[in-house]
Order: sequence, then C-alpha cells, then structure tokens
Amino acid sequence: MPVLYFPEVAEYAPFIAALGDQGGVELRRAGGYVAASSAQEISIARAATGLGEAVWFGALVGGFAGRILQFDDQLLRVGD
Amino acid sequence: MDAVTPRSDLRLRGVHHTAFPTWKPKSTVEFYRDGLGLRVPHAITARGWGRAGAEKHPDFLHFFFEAGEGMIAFFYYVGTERREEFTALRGYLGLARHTAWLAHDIDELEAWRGRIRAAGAKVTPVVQHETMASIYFVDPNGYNLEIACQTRALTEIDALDARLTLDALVETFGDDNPQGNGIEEMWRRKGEKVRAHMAGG
Repeated sequence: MPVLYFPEVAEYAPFIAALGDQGGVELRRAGGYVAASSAQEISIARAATGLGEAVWFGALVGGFAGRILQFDDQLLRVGD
Repeated sequence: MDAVTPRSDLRLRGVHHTAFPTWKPKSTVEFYRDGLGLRVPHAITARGWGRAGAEKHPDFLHFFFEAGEGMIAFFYYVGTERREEFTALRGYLGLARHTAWLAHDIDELEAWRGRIRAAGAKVTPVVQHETMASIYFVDPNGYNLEIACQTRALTEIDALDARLTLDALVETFGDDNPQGNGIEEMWRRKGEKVRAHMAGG
C-alpha cells in the first residue's frame, strides 16, 4: 500500500488538497504530519496543485512508502 | 579547573563578514558602492608579508561593504594574475556557493531587482520557494548573489521535519555515499521515520 507523508504546513497544503479530492485516498493526521494512503497507486498531477517547480519537486519531502513510478514536472505516481 | 567556563548562552550572533578575492577592484567598487548603494565602513591597505619566494604574500587591499548586520569584503592582491578557479563559479556546483542577503518582504525584493538592473547586472524574477522567496544575480567578479525574504515564519513542525530529514540523510548517504544510494532510498527512510513519529514512536 503506497503512502505519502507531508508535514502539515501551508506550502504542502495543495498536495493534500489534491489527494483529498481523489477517491480511494485516505488522509490521516497526527503529530504535525498528514499521511495519504491508498490500496491502489497514488498519483498527483502538478496542474491540480497549481504549484511552481520549486515546491512541486519537493513533493516527497515528508518521505513515502512504496516505489516511485513517475516523478517529473507534470505528474507524481507512487505504487507498491 | 577548566580554564574555559561553559556558557549555556553561547551562540553565533550572525555574519560579521564573508570575504572573496577580486581582480576587478574598479568594477567591484562601482557595483557594490555605486550600483547597490552599499556603505563602505572600512578598508585596509597593507604591505605583503610572509616568507620569500612562492609563499611570499603580495601587497593587498581588504575592503568592506555594509550589507545589513554583516559585511561582504574583498581582497585585492596587487600584481597577481586572476585565478579562474576561484571566480568562475558556474553550473549547479558553482551556484551552490553563494551569498544570500535578507530583505523584509517581496516588495523589497522587487525594489532590489530594479536597483540591480540599474547597476548593470541581470537579475532573475522572484522565485517562490517553500518558506522563502528569492532573487538571484551575479557580481562583476562572477560571484553568485541572492536576496531572500521569509514568506512565513518557521515553526516547530519545520524543525521536527528537518531533524527527521537530517537523520535520513546521514543514514542514507553517510560520507561520499559508499552504498551508492539514490534519493528514493532516502525518501523511503524518511517516510519510515515519519510513520514511527505519527505512531507516537
């Protein structure tokens, strides 16, 4: 099960909002972090976040569990 | 008794100055003093000293420009030839070595952009990073400069996250990355540390 972790601070909120809009992604909050997990592959489109490159390419700042399938200037996909 | 009394309040108070060699004193003075408008609080001129021969120290000037609480300083070694390996800081490795000054806010960054352009240097648009915004430019010597402002205050969460990142950094890469790890491995270790933290570990 892939999991993405984000510190719960303002600049990563667009990632969390984009994930919260997806079916099948469960968000859990504790200790200043948000964990986004799913039974399937997790993907975030940069277009859905509205982020510039500097913050977009920091998407995995909080770490993750699984395997990076794609991480470029348009899309982040993490699977098992 | 130890001659050095431990001081619990011991901390660094900011940057006094950073210093760089220059072979372009005219352009340097024109850029920093006349272009950027930095005050010149101090300048030293000295006869070189040291041993004879190759280790003889050249005569030099050491001059300072005020940059907020600290200063940027230059050494001009009279009669020496320019050494490109000290000034040609290009590419991402060259850019990693830079001086970043502090501005109050993005309005100030925009005002600095105008002054830097008027001083004859190219300057980037304002770049928004995670918790700060920056402009970048290069001085007449080739030194990389930045002016930055915090766009939000750093919090305890930022410090916690930084601690977990540095733990993962050191574990993953050590010195010289003997295991040849990639950043994906570091992110995975970071994720494990965050998972344990969220579970109360």
